[in-house]
Amino acid sequence: MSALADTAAAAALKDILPVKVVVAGACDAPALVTRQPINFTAAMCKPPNILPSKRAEVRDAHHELFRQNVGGRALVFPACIGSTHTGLVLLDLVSLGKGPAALIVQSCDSLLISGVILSEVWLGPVIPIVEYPGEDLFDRIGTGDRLVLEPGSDRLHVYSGAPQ
Amino acid sequence: MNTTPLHAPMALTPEQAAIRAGAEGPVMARCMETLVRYGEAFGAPRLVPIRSAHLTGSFKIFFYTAYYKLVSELVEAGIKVKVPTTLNPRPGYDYRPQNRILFRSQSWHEEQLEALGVTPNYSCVCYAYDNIPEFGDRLGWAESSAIIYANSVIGARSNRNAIMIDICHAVTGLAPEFGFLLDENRKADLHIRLQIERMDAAALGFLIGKIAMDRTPVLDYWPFTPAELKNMGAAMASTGGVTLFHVAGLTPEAPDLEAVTGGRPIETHTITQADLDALKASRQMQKESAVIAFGCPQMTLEEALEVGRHFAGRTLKKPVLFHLVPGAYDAFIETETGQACLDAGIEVLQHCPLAALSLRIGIGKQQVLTPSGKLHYYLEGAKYADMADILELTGAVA
Repeated sequence: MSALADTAAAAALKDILPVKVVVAGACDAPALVTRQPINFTAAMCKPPNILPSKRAEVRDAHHELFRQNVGGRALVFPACIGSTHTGLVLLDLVSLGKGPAALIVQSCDSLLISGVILSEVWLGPVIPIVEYPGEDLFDRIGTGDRLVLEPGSDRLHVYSGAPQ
Repeated sequence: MNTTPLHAPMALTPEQAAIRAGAEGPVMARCMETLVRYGEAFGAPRLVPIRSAHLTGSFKIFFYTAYYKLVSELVEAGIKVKVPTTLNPRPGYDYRPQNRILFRSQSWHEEQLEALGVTPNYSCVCYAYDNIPEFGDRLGWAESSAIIYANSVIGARSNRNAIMIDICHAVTGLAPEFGFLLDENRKADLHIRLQIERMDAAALGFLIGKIAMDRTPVLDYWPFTPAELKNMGAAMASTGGVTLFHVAGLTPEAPDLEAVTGGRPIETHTITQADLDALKASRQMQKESAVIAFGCPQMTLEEALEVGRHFAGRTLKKPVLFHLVPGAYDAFIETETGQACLDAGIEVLQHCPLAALSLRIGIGKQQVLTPSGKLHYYLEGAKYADMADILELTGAVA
């Protein structure tokens, strides 16, 4: 067991999800969970996102995460929807290290993957994208749980976190 | 860089493999690497030639940087597009002092894109004017409203490609073969039954997107016009991630329900007149709105004439903005209806309403009312109303 998982073992291991790794990478971050699909362009191309501290704040008033910051969070959601500017948003956030720490989705589509691959191929930084298609995804991970994915692993470790 | 493919590696031709290895320089190598990684994530076996590309990233959004940096790397390397490639609308800001700070680099970005050899059409409705695909053509497009129209109404084939991936398609003339490029992924997953007396296609698209998410819906027959199909698809691709829809008996891959479902039983939803009506802002909100915006996606000539004829000879009770495809602008204002619209006080514009109205320069935070499902979704504070309400509100009907 790696040092990463050793530290995490101090907290209560709640669950281990078998996931399909779509973009490889590692993460150790608190989860932010929504059952609503996310339109990253509607969320993050608004005037408030001009402020560096609000770059990763959801400003889509149609979304339940409105005004929440996804920076540094392992974002758990069903799928990405909407504009093809999604790539612009994720490319910047990932390459600047200001975006989510990982994307955990039921279904990974062509837009969600693009910004992350562009960042990796052209600029270097990458975050993992993993798929877990089951509807129980949202029962097995709660907002505030700590999610750990080790490099090369296809097992997502879920540790109980303080409810938020 | 982790280059371990998660699926089987794609089979590249010797020429493609050479470009990936750097035979045409490091920047082209990255373009090819991007397409290979993109395709391999979805199990694409190979790259296939495309007929055309369409680029979504025409705005210089000043607080985003990485995309523009990559584009300038391509320009510096002297790379040109290999297939006909069109470009999304301009953001429509003029260069008054406050805008110079925010949008000083817009002209620079346009020069960069044009240096790649792109057709400067500046329209999201490229499929009606400057980049017209045919049934079965494979495309490397971005712009969700254009992709859904090309797939659904024309029967061409494009995945929902992101900004910059579109440029990688354009400069290689290739796209990875997966998703909506393949027959087996073009069937309907979802049947939308219609119980509707007065069609409001944009509202219908707005509701279908939410139900379908990333699935492919087939709608009951309705004699939609091309403008209705455009506005409905754009809304579906905003509230959902719909890439392709069918209308039984109308769109080219849906001669009937049986053909488009492959005979399988699929999930069914019914959308009623009450569902459509519920999307409309209250009368009070409609009255409080300060500006009415048409044209997201941009209006074609036919659409502008159809909407515009209602305003001829009227006095507007509220400011009305028409956003036209630039290629349709001259033809529109030369018509009697076009002149009558100008005389009535309609502002006829050629840019993107979403970009232009995002900061409401000159009109402050005033409410925008729109019959566009897409604009209603994306523009903060934009309320929705159907055509009948808007015509009444603006004084276009007596």
